Amino acid sequence: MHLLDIQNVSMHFGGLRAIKELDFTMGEGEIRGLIGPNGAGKTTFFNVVSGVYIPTHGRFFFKGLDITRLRPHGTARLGIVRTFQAITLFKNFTALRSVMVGRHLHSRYNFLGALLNTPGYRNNEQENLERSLEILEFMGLSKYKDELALNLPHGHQRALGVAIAMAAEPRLLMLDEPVTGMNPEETAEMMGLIKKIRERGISVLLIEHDMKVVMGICEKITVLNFGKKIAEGTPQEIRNDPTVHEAYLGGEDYAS
Amino acid sequence: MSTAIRAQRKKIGIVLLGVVGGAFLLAFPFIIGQARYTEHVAITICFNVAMATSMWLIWSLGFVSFAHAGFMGIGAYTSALFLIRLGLPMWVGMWAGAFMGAAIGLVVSLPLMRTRAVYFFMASWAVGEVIKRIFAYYRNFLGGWEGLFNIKPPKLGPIDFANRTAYYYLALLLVVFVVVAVARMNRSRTGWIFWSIHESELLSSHLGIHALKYKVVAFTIACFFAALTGALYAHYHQYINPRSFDIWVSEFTLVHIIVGGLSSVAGPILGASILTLIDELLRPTEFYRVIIFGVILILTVLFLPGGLESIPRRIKARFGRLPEDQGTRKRLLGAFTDGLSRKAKGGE
Repeated sequence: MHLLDIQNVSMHFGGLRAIKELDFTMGEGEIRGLIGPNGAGKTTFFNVVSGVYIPTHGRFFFKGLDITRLRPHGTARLGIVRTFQAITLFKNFTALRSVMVGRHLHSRYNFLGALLNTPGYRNNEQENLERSLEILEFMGLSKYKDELALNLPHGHQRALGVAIAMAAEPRLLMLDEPVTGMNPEETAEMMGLIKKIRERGISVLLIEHDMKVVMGICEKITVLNFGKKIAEGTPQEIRNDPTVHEAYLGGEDYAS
Repeated sequence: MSTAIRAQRKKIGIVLLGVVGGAFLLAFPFIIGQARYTEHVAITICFNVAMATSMWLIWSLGFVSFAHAGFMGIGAYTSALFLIRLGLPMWVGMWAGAFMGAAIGLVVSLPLMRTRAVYFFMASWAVGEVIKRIFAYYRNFLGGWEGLFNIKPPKLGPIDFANRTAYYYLALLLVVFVVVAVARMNRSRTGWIFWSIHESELLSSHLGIHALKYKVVAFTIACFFAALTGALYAHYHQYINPRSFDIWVSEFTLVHIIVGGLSSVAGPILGASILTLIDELLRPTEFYRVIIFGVILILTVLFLPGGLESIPRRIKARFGRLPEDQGTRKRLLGAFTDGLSRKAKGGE
């Protein structure tokens, strides 16, 4: 059984066909790259899978479960958690508080327990605190735990976005351009972290324009162009695929 | 000074403030020699603080509800009708009113909370106006524009709450109940969830937070408190009409919150207390009151963004008594100023 199985999915916005009859499968424990020129439908793909949009046609399955019509909070509950291309954080929360909120699905929260501050609630929050500190440590953000998210430098904001997603203990982590705007050291660090995330048993699907990153960490790459899958294979295969070159460089005439 | 000692000191400070403040509030009627007018002002402050605090609860998710006075009216009318038509005392009517307010709040918020920003303002405004019109429309049952009379305050054993001092303690109990409940919610995970929706609904929904559910819960709870306040209001004034729950009441409550400050529960408490006092002091100026209120609002927005609650923070920043540690420094100075200074340095 595939972790993610997308069957013949289309997403139309009026006359615009952002995704056309896409088939896509991904296995457990993979790091999969999703690339393509601007406007190829990569982010739309993320929005469909995570439940922001409900596709116009087609169905898709997560661990065999039909999740086509689930909303974001429903897909998150099953273990699909994502980050965003434009940095999206709780800007006025400290880093630690943000990650604590990320623990939502795994805190045994109930309204009355929280209101009355029962021992059960407090113990549970203590557990959440320990887990959150561990995640911040893992992402290299420990010393920023009391900083407001909006005061963090850009690279750390991206890392915090991943930390918040990690707090939700996903099965499938979808990263939308995780290294955009990072300097080379930060990029290398993030690549190492993504590998470590996979070692924790989390499958990773990532959109990235930086070819060094994609070629460096993905076992398999899927290429989209104009909403269609035009190629799929190992980094080596993708590098040598003429259709991919054509999509990026605009055809033989331009390339030569 | 270590953070542990500072936290300890802060805790002691809060307890001390609570004890002194509580003693003052309890002794207040006797400090002023049970002067009737002063007691009236104190009771009005209690009602306004309860309204502002409950409206602030909705704000913590990023919404401003102009229907709030309407829900206060629902509590007031329900409790009044329980007394007038059924002969049941306020002890029953106030809870009936509160639950009626919560039930209607729940039903109304299901469609209302699907709208955003300015559309929510307009929709909630309409809800408030419709509630008021309904009070006015049913002349036989709800008394029309003339309203309902003879809403007697309750008795409890030998205590008759027609006595203003007694009613002051009742209103104080209400406001403490509302403020403590809202403050505790805000400090716990419930509050984090509410604020996370305020900060970014998109991100919180991708973390498994069912945003609509929490919006409805918060709105319902706020309506419960507003309706409870309304019930006590009705039995205090002993007379209500649809105009008592006009859109103006919601607007003044909003001004109380903005002037007080939006980021913590201290804001609505400070804003509602001080502005109600100013309002009473301005009573001789008659209709200029509204103008002066407008000027206060504009001055606050221009010169004191963050409201009254930010004053201690500002004083600390001005006189340079800031701790060495950069992180704490930034938190004291607040997000706004810090964002500017970072930009000025060209980012790091």
